[in-house]
Amino acid sequence: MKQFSKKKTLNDDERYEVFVRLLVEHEPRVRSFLRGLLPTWYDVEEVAQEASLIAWRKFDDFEQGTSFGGWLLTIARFEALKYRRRVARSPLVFAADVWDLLADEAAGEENLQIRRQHLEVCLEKLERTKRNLLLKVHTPGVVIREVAQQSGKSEEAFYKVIQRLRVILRDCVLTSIAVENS
Amino acid sequence: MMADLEKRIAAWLDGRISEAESETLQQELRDSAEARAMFNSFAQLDAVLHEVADTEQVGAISKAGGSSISTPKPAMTRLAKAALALAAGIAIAVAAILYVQYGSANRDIARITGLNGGLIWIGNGGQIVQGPGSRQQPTRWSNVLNEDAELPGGTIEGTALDSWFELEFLDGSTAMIFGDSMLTFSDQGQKEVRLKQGRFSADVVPQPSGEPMLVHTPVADLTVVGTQFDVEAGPESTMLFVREGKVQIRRVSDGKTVDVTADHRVVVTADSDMLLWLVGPDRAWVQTPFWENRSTSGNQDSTATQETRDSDGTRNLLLSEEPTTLPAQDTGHIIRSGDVFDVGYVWRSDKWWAAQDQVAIKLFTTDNDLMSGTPTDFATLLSGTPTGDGAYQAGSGRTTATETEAGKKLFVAIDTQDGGGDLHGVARIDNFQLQVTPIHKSGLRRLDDFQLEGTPFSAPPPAPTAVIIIGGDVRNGNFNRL
Repeated sequence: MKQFSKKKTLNDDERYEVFVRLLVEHEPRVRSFLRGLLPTWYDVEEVAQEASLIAWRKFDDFEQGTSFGGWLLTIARFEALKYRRRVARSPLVFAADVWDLLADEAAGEENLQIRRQHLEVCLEKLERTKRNLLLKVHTPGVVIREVAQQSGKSEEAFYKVIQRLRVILRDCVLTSIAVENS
Repeated sequence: MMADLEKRIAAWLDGRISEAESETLQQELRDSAEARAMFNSFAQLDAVLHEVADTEQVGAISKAGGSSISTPKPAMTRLAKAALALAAGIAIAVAAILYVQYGSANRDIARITGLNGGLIWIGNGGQIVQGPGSRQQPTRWSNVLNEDAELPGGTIEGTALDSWFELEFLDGSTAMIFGDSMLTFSDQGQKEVRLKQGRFSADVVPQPSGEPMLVHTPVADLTVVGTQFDVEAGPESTMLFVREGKVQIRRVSDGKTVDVTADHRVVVTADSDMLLWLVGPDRAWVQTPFWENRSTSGNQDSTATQETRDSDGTRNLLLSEEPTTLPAQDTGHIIRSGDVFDVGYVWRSDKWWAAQDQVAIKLFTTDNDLMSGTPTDFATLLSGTPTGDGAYQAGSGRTTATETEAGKKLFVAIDTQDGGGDLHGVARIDNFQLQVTPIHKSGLRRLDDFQLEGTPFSAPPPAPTAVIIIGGDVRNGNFNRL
């Protein structure tokens, strides 16, 4: 056994597991929420990391049986606000009033949630090459401008193609959510 | 109109929106709930697309858009991705589940070779482990980090100014963090570290072909084949200094890349020109006019000044708590009673400088008016404690000479006052200034005060003015003279 590892008690294991399961369940919602507030995925990752760490550190304060998702979202919103102050000079960062409006509405219970299963169904409806192209430009670490330059199209034309695919996908997803709700 | 709005939303999400378009978009979002709903739906779509794409094609440490990783690696499950993200401190407990599934990823990759001060390590499996000097309340799961302990990768965080942590990878490459720093490290066949903030030094042995060490900071990505270098990272800037070899640095925001060779440094910010600055070699005491090493060792060949970690693009004095180093100068000034001495300089803490350590400027005389004589301090002017943010801060002090020192030669030493810490700390000093204002006590007559008989009384003497003894180029106060 390593000097630095310590055998955990059963209660600790259980506690870990509870946290793990809650985090895995709610983290996508948090990242989606942050994406609408922060200008780059780098920012989203930073704040999501920080929020997860704080949630873990404060997990003792979380009241079992209440909404973990809401609690995590509150932490994420606060951390995003702190982060915003650091990057506020960027033209990509929204003004405070716009930020508040978007955050309020995105955090609201009534806000519809696009989930992965919705998207996967709609992605399957796209031609394989279009599906792959769309996923490629959304792959972490891929710079959309570089993909555009490699595509042989002008950047403007490339962005139009991507945007058309996004609109098709969004319409498909919203329709499937509407059908599901009805 | 809707098409224009969609276009602006897409440009914002892709990070290519212009300032004018951003203003327009914000106004639309202010004015229209429909616009906000549309924005929200595209943002959510982007997030889910990102999640799906991330699962199907993912690198060892996931990176945000704009990063240098442009060659996606084989797909992993979301849980596996989350396990690696955990190592970066994202989702601490996810790895507890994944530990069983991905046990091989948990192999030890590095050994602790030294540590000090408040430290927290967060590793696979969610262990939160604190260093022996941590001031934080230990958690129930805490243990203590020890020298020689082996780690499987994870995030190490220094929580105090005097924190430091040294790591040796299996191939002999070493890495250190200092002070309030946070570093995530992994080695799945290719070393990858992420310096969220703080200071990081590495001595990297030649890496396998095609698998350079990757260092990520908030604003830059570094590619290291084998070299020695220092990095300082903040939320908006990264400074790289290469001591040996070559490091490629790439600005995340626009992909601009430069190769930084030995003895050069570069600063990367959103709008920096990323020009390379030649950092001159270290200079010893014998190459530093007016100043000498007055320590017991008297070694005049040890390092006195450097250009790295500068305050103004020029050389600075390296100050150490080591007893073998004591910068001092014979000022040549003969003290008069009532002389007011003002000292000013800028300084910053560096490696191992503890939170209570201070710079101590000592003014002294000797029994034979020679530097080699027996010293008697008549003033010790302390700098105050460091801010610890890596920025230069001002230090100053004032003292008045008395009859005791009158008639003797003034010497000055730049010493340290140890406030704690296990190791000898290092600080940097620049733009040292010492000035004297001759203010003489009433009733004590000087030769100048006597009038020759028959001569008229002159006008009242002018107000005393300060005279610079050391400062700028005078007696090498800026440490730049050769």
